[in-house]
Amino acid sequence: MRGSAATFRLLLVDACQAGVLTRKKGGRIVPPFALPSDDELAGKGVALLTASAADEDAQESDELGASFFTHALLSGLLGAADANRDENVVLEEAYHYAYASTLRNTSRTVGGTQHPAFSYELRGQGQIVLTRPAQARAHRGMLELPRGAAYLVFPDGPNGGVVAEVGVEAPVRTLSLPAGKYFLRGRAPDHLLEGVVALAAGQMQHVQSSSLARVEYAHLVRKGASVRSFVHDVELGARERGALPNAEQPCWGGFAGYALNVRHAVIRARTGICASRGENDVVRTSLREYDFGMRAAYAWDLTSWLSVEAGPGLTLSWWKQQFTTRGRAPPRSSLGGAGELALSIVLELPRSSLYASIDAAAQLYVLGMEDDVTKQSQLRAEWCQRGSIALGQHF
Amino acid sequence: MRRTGSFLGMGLGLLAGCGDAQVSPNYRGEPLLKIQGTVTRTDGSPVEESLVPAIAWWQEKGAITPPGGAWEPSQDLSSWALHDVGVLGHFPAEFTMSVYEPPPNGSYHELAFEPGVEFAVGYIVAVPADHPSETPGDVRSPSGSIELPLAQGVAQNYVVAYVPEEQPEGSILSGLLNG
Repeated sequence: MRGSAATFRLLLVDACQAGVLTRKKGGRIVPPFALPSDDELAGKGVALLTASAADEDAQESDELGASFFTHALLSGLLGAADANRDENVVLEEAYHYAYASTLRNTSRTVGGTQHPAFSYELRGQGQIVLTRPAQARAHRGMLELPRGAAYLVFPDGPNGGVVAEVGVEAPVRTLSLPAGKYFLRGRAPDHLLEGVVALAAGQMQHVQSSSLARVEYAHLVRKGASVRSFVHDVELGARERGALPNAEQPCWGGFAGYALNVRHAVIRARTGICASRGENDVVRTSLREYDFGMRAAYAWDLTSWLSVEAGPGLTLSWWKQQFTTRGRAPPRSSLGGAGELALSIVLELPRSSLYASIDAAAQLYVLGMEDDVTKQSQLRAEWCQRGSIALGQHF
Repeated sequence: MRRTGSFLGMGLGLLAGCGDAQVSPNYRGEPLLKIQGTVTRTDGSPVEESLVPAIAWWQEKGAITPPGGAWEPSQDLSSWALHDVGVLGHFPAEFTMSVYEPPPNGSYHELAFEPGVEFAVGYIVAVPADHPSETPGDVRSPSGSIELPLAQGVAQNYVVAYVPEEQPEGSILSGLLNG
């Protein structure tokens, strides 16, 4: 590089432990190439930007489809780094943007925080302009992204590579991009915003958050699109269970629940109470059931607002029968349990982290019953159905 | 998988064994009285299958006075409350009937010789299955024997007595009931 005849030399290195280069070690000479115009360069000398410090790995992201550093630098050159909004992205702006973005994006990775390095020997006045995003409007458009979320811009849909990124706190949110369609994914602290925008050459496209689809936590976790690997839910609901042999009528009641959403599954725990009544010519019976159940379910996201869950579960129940009679009928308490297969439909409520769910389950209960005639206790297994509705919130 | 299911079933079974057994909607409570017997006709003719056992609680207001130590109602009987009873076995052949409720209000009488102590008297009868719960009217026959218009028969030599309060040992009533 030192043998180059160029008046300004910029070396970008995205490699593990590339920071050693900023200490004037290593490096490999490559053939020189011409820049369009030396006149526009305000300085002379050498600048070296490296993806990581001397003792760090340069990390790559599966989600971005690129290395963190290169991706951040390119996003900056597209306009995101233009801190003073003079429509010029200069060397320092590009470095600062790439540094901050790489630091932020690698702060939670297994590889640890990655620190890009910058070294230079420059002479002359003025700053080195690397790009002028606004000057290419003949075949490019300007995309301004809304605040409140960190955005990734995908040129080929959500499964392709990422062309640019704008951080949640980035003051400049305008990118210069070739005309075309782009898939946008904005990651807010508590939800995801997704949508497709068409960008025409010379157009200034202001994207509104409201024009993007909102995807809630559970979907984020299952899509792997969240930095979190799980999401908590709490819920309240009402339910009805068919009559068991210890009651004449269905058991109506309510429950409180908690759910843990992980990548492909949901684990739900619910505790509840229900009541039923019965009456014959001598005794009026009041039945209460207190229960605690757990269920593991596989979840399918049919749309961004509709999911289906299915899976097995177990319920432990404590029944208390109390009797009103002119005769003698002491209360009875007993334990039992049920295995179940449940199916749930979960609807994400718009513009919130709330959801509503409807579920149905086939349950096989095992309970101790006294025979009407012989008065002997015996175990009985009985099928019944249960339906419930719930309103919950993701956390 | 089958082993897992077996363990699961065993676990639920053990749980279901904890506590009292639940009862069905047919549960009528714990029996206050159980009576075993057989219904026969004195003339030897067959007993109608449509009959059910019941207890006819005497509902006349007033006191019972034991004239000369024998239990005789002091006034004419004017109504009866019929209580169905639970039956095991085959009525009217050998059966066990259970009484689950105390006599209804209006069936209690005060003992003249022991004021404040209430007492109910009933007879075990066989009545049609569709009988009304109360049977008003004069049920004393000219001969002085107990008669209940609906009753197809009555357990002779037996009377059911109910005292709502526990009687102290050595009391007159306790002595009479045990005697």
